[in-house]
Amino acid sequence: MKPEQEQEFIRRRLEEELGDLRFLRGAEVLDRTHPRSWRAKLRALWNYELELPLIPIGASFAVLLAIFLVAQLQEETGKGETAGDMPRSGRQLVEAGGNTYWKDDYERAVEGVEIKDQS
Amino acid sequence: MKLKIKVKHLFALAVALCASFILLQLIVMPRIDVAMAKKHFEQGTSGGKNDLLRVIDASSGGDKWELIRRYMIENGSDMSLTRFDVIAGDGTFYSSTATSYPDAPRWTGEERIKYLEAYVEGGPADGYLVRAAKQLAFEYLVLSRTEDAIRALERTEQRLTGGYDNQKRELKFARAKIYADAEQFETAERLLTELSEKPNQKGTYLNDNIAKLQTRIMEQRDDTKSSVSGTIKRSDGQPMAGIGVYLRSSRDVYHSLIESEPYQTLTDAEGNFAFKGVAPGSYVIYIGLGFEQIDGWTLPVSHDEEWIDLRGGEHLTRDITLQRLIQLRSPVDQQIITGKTVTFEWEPVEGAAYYTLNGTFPIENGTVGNRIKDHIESNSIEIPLETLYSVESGYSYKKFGDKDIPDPSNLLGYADPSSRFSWNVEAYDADGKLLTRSNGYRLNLNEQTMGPLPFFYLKERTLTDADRLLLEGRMDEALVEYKAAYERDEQDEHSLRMMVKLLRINATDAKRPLDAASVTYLEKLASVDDTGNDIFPLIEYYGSVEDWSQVDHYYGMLKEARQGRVESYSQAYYGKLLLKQGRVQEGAAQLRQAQENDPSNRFIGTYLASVIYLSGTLDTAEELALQYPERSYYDQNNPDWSDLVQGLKEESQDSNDDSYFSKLKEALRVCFGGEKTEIENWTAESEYSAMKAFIKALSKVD
Repeated sequence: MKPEQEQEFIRRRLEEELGDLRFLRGAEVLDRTHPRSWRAKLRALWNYELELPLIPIGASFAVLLAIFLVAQLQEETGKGETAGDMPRSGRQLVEAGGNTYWKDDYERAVEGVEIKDQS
Repeated sequence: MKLKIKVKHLFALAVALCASFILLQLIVMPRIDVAMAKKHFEQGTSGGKNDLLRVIDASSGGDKWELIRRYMIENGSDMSLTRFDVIAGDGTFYSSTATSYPDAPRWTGEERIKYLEAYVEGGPADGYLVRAAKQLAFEYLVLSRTEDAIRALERTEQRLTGGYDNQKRELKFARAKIYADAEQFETAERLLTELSEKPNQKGTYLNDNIAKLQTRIMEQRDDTKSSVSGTIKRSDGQPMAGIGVYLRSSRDVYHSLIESEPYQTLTDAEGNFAFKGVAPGSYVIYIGLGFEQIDGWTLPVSHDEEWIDLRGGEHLTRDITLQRLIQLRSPVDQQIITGKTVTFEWEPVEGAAYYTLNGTFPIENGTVGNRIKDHIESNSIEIPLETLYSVESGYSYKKFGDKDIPDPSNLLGYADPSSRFSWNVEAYDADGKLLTRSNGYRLNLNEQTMGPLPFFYLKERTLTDADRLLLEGRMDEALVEYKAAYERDEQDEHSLRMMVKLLRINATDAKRPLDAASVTYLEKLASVDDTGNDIFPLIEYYGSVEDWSQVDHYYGMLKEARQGRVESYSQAYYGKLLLKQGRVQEGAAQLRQAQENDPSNRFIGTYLASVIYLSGTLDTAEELALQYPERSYYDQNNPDWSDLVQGLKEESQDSNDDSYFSKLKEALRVCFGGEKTEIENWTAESEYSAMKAFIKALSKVD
């Protein structure tokens, strides 16, 4: 069978078999494929499928995240430094040689004189 | 690699991301912040306090009140005047550290006022509000803002609703107390009357306190009652405002300060304080300060020196001046001494007539103090190491295996080259009153107060074999080795001294007197050691065997070594030995002198007895007993000699017996003799109860 004949044959078979069916929403389909109204245009945009390159986007996200974290970290350490000047947060007392000292001050002083002794 | 995604899905993803970010910032982050701040604060991390204040400021409503409640109100004690960093008095300094978060930083008054004010205004009206109000009132009182304190209490009372009747009464009582302290007696009494008009069955504790305060107000208004007032300032003229002042009774001073002690107050802006309506008794003033206030300063009082004896109607003034700590110059900062002498030097103190030099030996969990030299007239002194080696101290026990033996390092004292010693000085005026000292709080808070460390090492000598045995805890072997070393070389003063120490410890442990052989060594030591530190045991020994000429001989030696200033205990002991011999006149003279140098008046009973024995009357004794009451030691009930003498006086008048005094004299003679059975026999026979009471107390003086 020649191709023209074959096409003609299939078309006839289809017309025969689908003869009872009626396709009613042709207009709608046309509206979707070739939107005219603003609503239809919007819907088309809403359902538009994007193809995104994964690697560049992932990389830029990672860079942004890193910048954000570094900024946060700097803020934290900045706070810590000013707080270091507080006179006596949570320091313990120690009694040594009949005097009462802050434990950290005392330990530092003893360390200091011991280093001096060794040199 | 590509990702296919519809615009609507991309949009939904973006919305979800934004929402979670907002959620994180608004809800999760603050919670993490709060949790971190709490943790930092509780652990005392630097900046923890600021973190917590920041989250309190940032939070609102219930969260804010919860934080204030947990970290300020729960930890604070309500209107307690005992809440200070350091409580000082009677030669002691006590830092309190009790808190539910031991490492947490403490709030300053300003910080507390800010947040408590907010709580009192806006916090939920419950039991915590009452506590917040009381604590706020206290902070105001410290700043002499009496009006604000009253306002805070009143405001809280108004905010509380019907269900909090008891709490409202408590607040009203607190107000009455403040009015009473401020001497606005009428207002105080009006409030108390209002309170007692509707007595509450449940609040018996409060009802008690109401009655007590009413009595106190009555006493305060009673001009015939005693009062004690004064001003507290620093020697640079700055008044000490808002510090705690406590007039503590002799019954209370042996324990730490508690809230129920009756006489507590705060100084006003000029540092003035006053106690009115004080009941008769013996008292000593303690003060309560913040670390910032005591840092680099000291309260210059010694133990038992500052008693206030009230009998009723006196109006006494006791001003207190805090003095700067003495700075030490040398040897400091763990200097190692290798020469034959060590020169102690410190900053001179204006008005000081003499100084005393003290040291400490390290022991396992602390130090043991000792007196190196007394009555030093300049601000430096060169001391031969031999003198340091002969310094005596008490000794602590240390565990060796399963046995407790005297800490060997402590026994070696300054002769242990591995020990780190510390030293300190005290300055006295010509009347023997303490001016200031070098020991104290050195916290670098307002200025550099820490100064050099008062530590030094003595490495002139090296350990002998016997020393090593001793340090290993092998005391008996060490004793044998010391003996052998001394026999090899009679110039070996160290071995002789250690031998004597060990022999004395053995005798004390076995509760027996020194044997004759040990005494021979003791005598040899006393003859070569010119510090006099080894003489007293000889006096004790010869006293116990009643060899009076030796007692006199060694007492003479002691007096010479001490350049005429024998310690009161030794002198009184010698006085008692004189009484025992019947040399009452001489004994009384020694006891009188010892008595003058002993603020605790522990020998007053024996001295009174010698006075009664010699004079045959009770008048002088009566006066002396009033003037020198025996001070209590811990919570022991010491005899009230004044009462005892009074008893004798009444009994002698009542008895109408001319022979009363000769009987009393005979009883005293028996008691001076110190023979237990004789005293017991006399007691069994005597018919005079007051005399018996006096003799019983006298036989216990030691």
